[in-house]
Parts: sequence; C-alpha cells; structure tokens
Amino acid sequence: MAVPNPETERSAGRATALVGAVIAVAVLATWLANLPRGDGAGLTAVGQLTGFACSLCALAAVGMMARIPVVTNLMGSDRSVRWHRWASTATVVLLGVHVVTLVVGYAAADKAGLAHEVSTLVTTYPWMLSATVGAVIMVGIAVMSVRRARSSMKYETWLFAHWYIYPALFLSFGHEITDGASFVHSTAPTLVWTWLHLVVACALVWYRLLVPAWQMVTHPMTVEDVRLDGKAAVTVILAGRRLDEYRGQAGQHIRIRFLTRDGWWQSHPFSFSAAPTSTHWRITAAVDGDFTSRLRALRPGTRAVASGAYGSLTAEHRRSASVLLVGGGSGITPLRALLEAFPAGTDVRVVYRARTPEDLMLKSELDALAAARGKEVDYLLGRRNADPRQDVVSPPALRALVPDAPGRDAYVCGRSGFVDAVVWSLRANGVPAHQIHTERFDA
Amino acid sequence: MKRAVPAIALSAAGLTWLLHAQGVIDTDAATRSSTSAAAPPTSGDTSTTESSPASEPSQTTPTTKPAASGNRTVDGPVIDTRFGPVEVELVLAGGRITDVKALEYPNEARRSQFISEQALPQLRDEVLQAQSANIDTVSGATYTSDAYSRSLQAALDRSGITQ
Repeated sequence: MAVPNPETERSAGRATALVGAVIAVAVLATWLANLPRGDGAGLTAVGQLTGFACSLCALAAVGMMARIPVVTNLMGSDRSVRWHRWASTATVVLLGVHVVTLVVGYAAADKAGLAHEVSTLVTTYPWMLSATVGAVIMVGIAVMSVRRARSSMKYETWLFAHWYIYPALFLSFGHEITDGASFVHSTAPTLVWTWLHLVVACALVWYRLLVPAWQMVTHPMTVEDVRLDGKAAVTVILAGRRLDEYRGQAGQHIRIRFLTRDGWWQSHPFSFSAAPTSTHWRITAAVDGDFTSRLRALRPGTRAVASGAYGSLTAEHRRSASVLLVGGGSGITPLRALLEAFPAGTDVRVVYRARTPEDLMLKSELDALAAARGKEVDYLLGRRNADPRQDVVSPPALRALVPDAPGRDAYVCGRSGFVDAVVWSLRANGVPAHQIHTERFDA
Repeated sequence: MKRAVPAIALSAAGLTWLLHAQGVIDTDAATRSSTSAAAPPTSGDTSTTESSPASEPSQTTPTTKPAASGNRTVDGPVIDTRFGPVEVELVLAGGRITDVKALEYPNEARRSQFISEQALPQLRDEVLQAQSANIDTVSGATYTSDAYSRSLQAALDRSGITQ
C-alpha cells in the first residue's frame, strides 16, 4: 500500500471536501424545495433536515469502519476511529432532534396530542415501526459505547452488540424513502440517496467480507510460536508465504483474525514488534483485556487471516537526520520495530513511559537495540500526573531530557491522552508539526 | 460466544416479526390510498346524487353531468400540486352548492393522506358555508387548499351559476 505524502493527503482532503460539499448542497436544495408550511412547519423543517444529517453521519460513521485502504492509509486508523466516534455521537444527537422535532411538529399540524401522534406515526406510516426499532437499537449501541458502560462489559459483548448497527440502518432506511417529504414525490433524489447508501454497503461487503475471505485463500498463515514477555505482554510469531504482498513496514500495524473456535468472528489490530519479512511476522500485544489475555492460550498451528498493513508511523516519513521515539505503555511495540528500521549510525533516542516496572514491555530487546546504537533507553515510570505541567512529559521535563528535540523527527505512540500530552510538549519545545508522527492506540 | 447463538436466533425471529408487522401496516396504508379515491373522506349525505366514478387524472376539461334527481354535478379540472393532483366535484341543486367531493387529492405519501383526511372535510364545510370558492386556507394543508379552491372555482365557472 502506498505511503501517503502530504500532497496526496491534501488532494484527497480536497476531493473529500468536494464530495461532501456536493452532497450538502444537494441535500439543502431538496430540503428547501420541500419546506413544509402551516402549523409546526418550523419544527417539521428542522426534523427533516436533521433526518438527512443523521443519515449522512451514520453513513460516515460506518464508512470510517469499512477499512477502505485509501481511507485507512490517508487518515490513519487512529484518526478514522476518532472520526467514527464523532460521527456516531452526531448521529445519535441528530436522531434525537429529528424524532422530537418531527413528532412535535406533526402533532402541531394535526392538532393532536403527542402520545396520539406517536402512535399514529408508528402504527400507520410505512416503515415507521421499523425505523423506530432501528432508532432504539442505535441509541442502545451508543449507550453501550459510552466509556464507562463499555469498560464495565466484556469486549466481545460490546463488539457483538455493535454488529446490530447493520440491521438498524437497514430498518431505518425504508422510512426515509417512503415517508421523507423530499423522496416520496421525486424519483431522482430517491435514486441518488439509495445509490449513496448502496456505495457504502458495497464498500463494507467488499472490504470487510470479500477481501478477508480472499486473503484467507491466497495468504494462508499460521501461528508458529507464542511467547510470554513477563506478565505484561505476549508475542506471537506468524508464518506464511508471500507476506511481503501486504507491504507491511516497521511501525505499522495489521489486523488479524485468529481462526479459533471462539475468536474467528473478530479481528484485532496488532503492531509489528519487529520488521516484517516475506515469511514471518512478529506481533506483540499488552495483556490488558479479555481478548489479549486469551492470546496467551493460542496454540501453534492456529490459522490466521490478516488485513492491512495500516498506519503512517514509518521510517520513510522521517524529515530530519536524527530521531526521537516516545512510547507510552504498549505504544512502545511499533517503536521497537522502528528502532531497528533506521539505518545504522542514525542518532535515535528512546523515551519509554510506563506505570510500573512490571508494565515495561520488550525491555531487554529495547536495551540491546539502543546499546547497539550507543544509547540508553530513558524509562519514565509512574502514573500520569493530573496536572500536565507537572507530568514527566511536560514541556520542561521533556526539554531537560531531550534538549535537541527540535532537530529530531519524533515518533509518538500510545493512548491518545499520552500522545496528545507528548505532542503538546514537543510543539512547546519547538519541534515543527511535520516532524511529529503519531499513532494513537485507543483513539 | 455460547450466548451468541440464542441471541442471533432471537434477533432473527424479532426481525422476521417486525418485517411482517411492517408489511401489514404498509398494506393497510396502500389500501387506504388506493381505495380513498373511490370513497373520498369528504362524501356527504347527498344520496340522491349519482356520483361519477373517479375520473382520469389527465382529465383537465371540466364536465357537467345532469343527474336524475335534479341535482347536477360538475367536475373541476385536475390541479397538480407538489404532493399530488387535486380534483373536486361540485354537487349543485338549484344554484346552491349542496356538496363538494374530492375525486383526487394528495394521498401518495402517508403524511399527505393524513393531512388530506383532516383538511378535506374542513374545506368542504367552508365551501358549503361560503357558497363560493372564496375559502380560507387550512393550516398545514396550504397546497391542497389552494388547489382545491382553484379546481372548485373552475367548476363553478363552468356550471354557469351566478353568485
């Protein structure tokens, strides 16, 4: 997969903005052409416009997760996850406004009570009962994805519930066409709107079903070895043929589906913890959840399917002569692979932040690789300080640790709070934005 | 994973039921919109009138039909609105408007059906009271009211009665 450069990124951004603008203008035009009149017209109009916006946000949210190579490579999977989250939040908020304004607006027009209006809508309008169920499912998924709720349930439960978004979107599509003021009487908008949904549906089927199925046939892969790295990490070696066709590079990650009895239906992202070769991949994950703790039980010979590689945290993005790698927690994994990727003689500093000494991953390898470059890894231990100015990665702390940071390319990887704090410190110390490369693990 | 199988089975059953229930609702709505042209919600109690069957939507020429009882009916032209065509039929008895029927009105969308069902009786009452096409717009049914009044005015012009 091609590595994006700033120019292609800019032109892709322009193309996306153009497509977005065309869709927005078309939607506004159909909306304005079908403005309601009379009692409750204002609310009804708001309800119609938020209906459009809600649908578009849902498409964007799902599209962000379609793993379209262009999208993942240009945006980076961390950014696409963040956009997914924003788009999903917007979908649910707009859904609420859409439902409330239309019910109140229609009730005003019909001079009916709210309860009566709701029951009329749900029981007599085409596709409206389905749309109601779809909306309830969407709200349910949103509630489950609120950080606190999500952390209290098993990852598998959350993921399983998330799949219900597809039936929910199917159920809510019907009422847009059969009841939407802009669609009922006009064919062209209906066709365009349906086509737009079909494009996203096809992308999903293609990239999330057919491509992985094809990869399974053409690139069979098995687990060769599973190694525990202390209590905190597990390293898996995968063997296969023609793995170079994935074009993975040190610093990137890959999505892997282990074909075990319980786990075949979910794929997870893993960073390469060593530079990938055409026959072997090495991935390392922190043991911090249901899924990662079960990784330890993987048996050699287990089949696996991969898709990717993703991410722009690669050596070829480097602009300056020397390098600074800053990892937080399991964010050190891709940096470990990167540490090998720069040519010998490149000045590479490594800063590794973890909560406790037991949480340090790949420590002996890091020490050895740094020693080979005549350097030592700087370990920063302890919890994040609530006051970012007092933290070990605050601007003054970082300046003291790496005084020549502005002359280096910084590769930062970890949880997004950590990455944001480090980027803020680096920028405060005068590191130009184009010399900072990031990957966020949780986005 | 063990709970996934019953969850999927239950969801599939739920979805099947939902689509079935939705099918029933949609069939009802379709029946309502196709039969409503034959039995408009505005039909009054002028049982003496031999009402003409729903006319062709393309028909734009007003027609006059004498009825056996001395009442006569005059069809107005079809007026197109964004939400569908409107056509009224006027029932006259000795220069007085005794009934107005909507032969066609917006009923393609459920929303339009709903609005028509509420607006048409109001419009009819207004006409019977005013004895002319000079009637107030029904709020929430602006387009239908306007087309109704225009079709009615044309029918009145054709009927030859003076007001």
